[in-house]
Amino acid sequence: MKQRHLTAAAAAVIIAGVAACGSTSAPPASSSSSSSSAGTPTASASTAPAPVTLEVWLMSGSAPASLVSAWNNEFQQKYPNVTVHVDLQQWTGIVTKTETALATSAPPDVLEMGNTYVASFAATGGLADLSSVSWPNQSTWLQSLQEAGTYSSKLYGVPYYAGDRIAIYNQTIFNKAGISSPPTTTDDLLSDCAKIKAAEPSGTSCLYIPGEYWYAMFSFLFGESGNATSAIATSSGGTWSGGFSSSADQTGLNWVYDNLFKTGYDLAPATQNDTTTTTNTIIEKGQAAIIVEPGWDYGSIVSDLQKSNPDNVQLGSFALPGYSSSAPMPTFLGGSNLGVAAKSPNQQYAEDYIQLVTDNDYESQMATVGGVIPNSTTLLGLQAENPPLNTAAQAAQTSWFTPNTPQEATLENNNVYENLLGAIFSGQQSASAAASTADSTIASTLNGS
Amino acid sequence: MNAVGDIPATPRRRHLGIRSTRPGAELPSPAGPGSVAPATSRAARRLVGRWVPYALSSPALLVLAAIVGFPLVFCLVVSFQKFGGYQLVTGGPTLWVGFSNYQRLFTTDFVPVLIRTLLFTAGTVGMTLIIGMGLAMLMRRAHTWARVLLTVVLVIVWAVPQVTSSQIFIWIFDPAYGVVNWVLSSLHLGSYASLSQHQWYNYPVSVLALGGAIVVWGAVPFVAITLFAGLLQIPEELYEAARVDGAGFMSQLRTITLPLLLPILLLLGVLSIIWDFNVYNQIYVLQQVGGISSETTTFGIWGYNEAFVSNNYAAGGAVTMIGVLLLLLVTGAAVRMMVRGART
Repeated sequence: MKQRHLTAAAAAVIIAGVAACGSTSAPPASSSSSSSSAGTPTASASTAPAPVTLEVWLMSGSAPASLVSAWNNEFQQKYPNVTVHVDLQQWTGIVTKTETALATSAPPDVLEMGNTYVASFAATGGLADLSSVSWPNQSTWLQSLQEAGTYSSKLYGVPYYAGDRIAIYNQTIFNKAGISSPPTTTDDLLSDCAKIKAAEPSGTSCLYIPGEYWYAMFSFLFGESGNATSAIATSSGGTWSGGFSSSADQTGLNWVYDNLFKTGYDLAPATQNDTTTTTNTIIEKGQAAIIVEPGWDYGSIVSDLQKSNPDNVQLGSFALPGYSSSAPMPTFLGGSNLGVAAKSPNQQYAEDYIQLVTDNDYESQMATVGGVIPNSTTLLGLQAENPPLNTAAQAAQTSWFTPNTPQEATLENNNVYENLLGAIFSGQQSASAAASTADSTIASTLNGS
Repeated sequence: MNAVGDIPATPRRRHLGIRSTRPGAELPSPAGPGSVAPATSRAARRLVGRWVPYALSSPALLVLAAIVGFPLVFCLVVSFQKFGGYQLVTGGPTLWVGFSNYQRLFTTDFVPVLIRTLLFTAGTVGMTLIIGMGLAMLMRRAHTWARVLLTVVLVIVWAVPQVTSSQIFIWIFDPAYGVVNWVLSSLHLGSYASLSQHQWYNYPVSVLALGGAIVVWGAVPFVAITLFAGLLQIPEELYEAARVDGAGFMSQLRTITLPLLLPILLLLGVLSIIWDFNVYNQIYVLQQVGGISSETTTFGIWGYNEAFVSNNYAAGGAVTMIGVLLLLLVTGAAVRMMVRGART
């Protein structure tokens, strides 16, 4: 009974949404019959449109506040009847929160989604199909973001921005240890760490990467030769199998354990994931020589340093060096997509809002002010003047991504990757034992049994 | 104890008495128009009397049915279906899958999670009752000002939200900046220089022990204050008589305090078992900090993970039903003991 009501309501909303999608022009201007039947507040072109509140969920730390208020103002000038209400969400527990919100009758109209989560949200039927809308820069979108936003060959998430992780280092510590240039291979890295360990007081970390920080650690697995796409899992004939037991992954896992943890070069907690604020504090205090953090954090670390310690610590950045000098370690290309809730009554406004946010103007500012990689290849040149962003763009040349399937979010949220790395790097399990546990969980989760 | 035992017996005897005297009571009633009215009013009163208890308890029963009964039945129904994010959002087709949700749970994580949860619950309930009892006895013997101070402190502890206390414990045990590692290194108990300090989150046992400590810390005030109230009901003369007979502290505890507090202890024990078996907040907050979460998952976390992390609401419902059954076994036995204890 209840389910039938829900089904009927969902069907009505979807039909309404499809009808509303018929016209891509701005809603108040389009007085076509489709928009009035869709329930958008443009009952007739002659009367003023009814007031609407557009609920927008953005992730905390994604876009600078100044940028958000700029595009909100522009949107509200265009549509005086619309009040944009932005709700900043935290990443912790966001999947549960979003799925629950999408199931309600009053979901957020526009939502920012981590690129690894789009598939799982789309699979619930909670997102509107955005394939029929024409988007700014659509033909030059970053391929990985476009793939992340696509599920069953339909577009559910418009590429918003990307970001990757770079090595940020303390030049003062490097100089003191007599190191003149950043390492370009892992062998360089290890010999630099030996020098740093000799020059610094005990308890100083050379390369501070918490053991369960899989965004950074998996780069050492994807960097093994022939492993560029297969480190986490591979799909053949629709069946997924985990890759951590492969010899390439085993070599990478043991390399990290032997060379970073057993040597005391890392010194970060083996069974914790990264907390950006803690890690940034550690490099600001000079307790670590190198950290691996998103490129857009570089600016905030520098400004913190200028406040607390203006002339002591000099920062620099480099791409995490590869096993050979030919290429840096592949980096995790994270990022976000923007979507519209299927049950949103304001489909047109929501789409229009996303079109505004992802246009050339605001995407450029996301790069120059926000410090992230913009969604279009045509805008990548903006970063040449900015050293850390330049590093990030270089590092992004070889990147890796998580398996693109709805169940991937389940793997992440069940801490499968964290548990694997924590068990190995804390010395509680061998790399092969932990990998076989993880691989069997991956197979059962991704294959949905 | 005997006074308590008499209570259920008294109405039963009175009830029987009424029934036996009823025919006799109606015999002397004289024939006439006046006699009908008292008879019907008595019948009406009997009818009303039969329904009054139901009428009075129905608001509470309705509320319980809505907030406990409905979710429980919904959980049970869903646990035999395929019910995930798709079904939640779209209300999509109902698929009955029999016991397959339960089958998967029993063949995967059930045994390790159950053993871990039982050990955890035994440890926390035991520690809570022992520390609570100790504090209650201390309060009975302490000076008034100390008793007031202790009560205030206990109430403050009680008032601290679980997430807040968990976060504070996490800071205390922080590997790099925590006060525990600082104290240990100041006492030269091992190598605790800056970043290379002891990693409390590396070992599942120390994570669960820390979680248990947070749980016990938060649970002791309720137990201590309740037991203290119970202790005040024990007449001082009993202890005086025992002392005159030469009973020491331990034998007073064994022969007077514990037997007289047994009903309260049983009740507190049952409540603590239910709360600690289902503990969620403290462990969840700890798991967010680190550790190998698959080795620290207890029953409450397991159910949440199945339902809301994996978006498999059917499996979450199945975990809940298993938990309800297990707790019914334990609490059923304890409630039977309590009832029997009240009768004798």
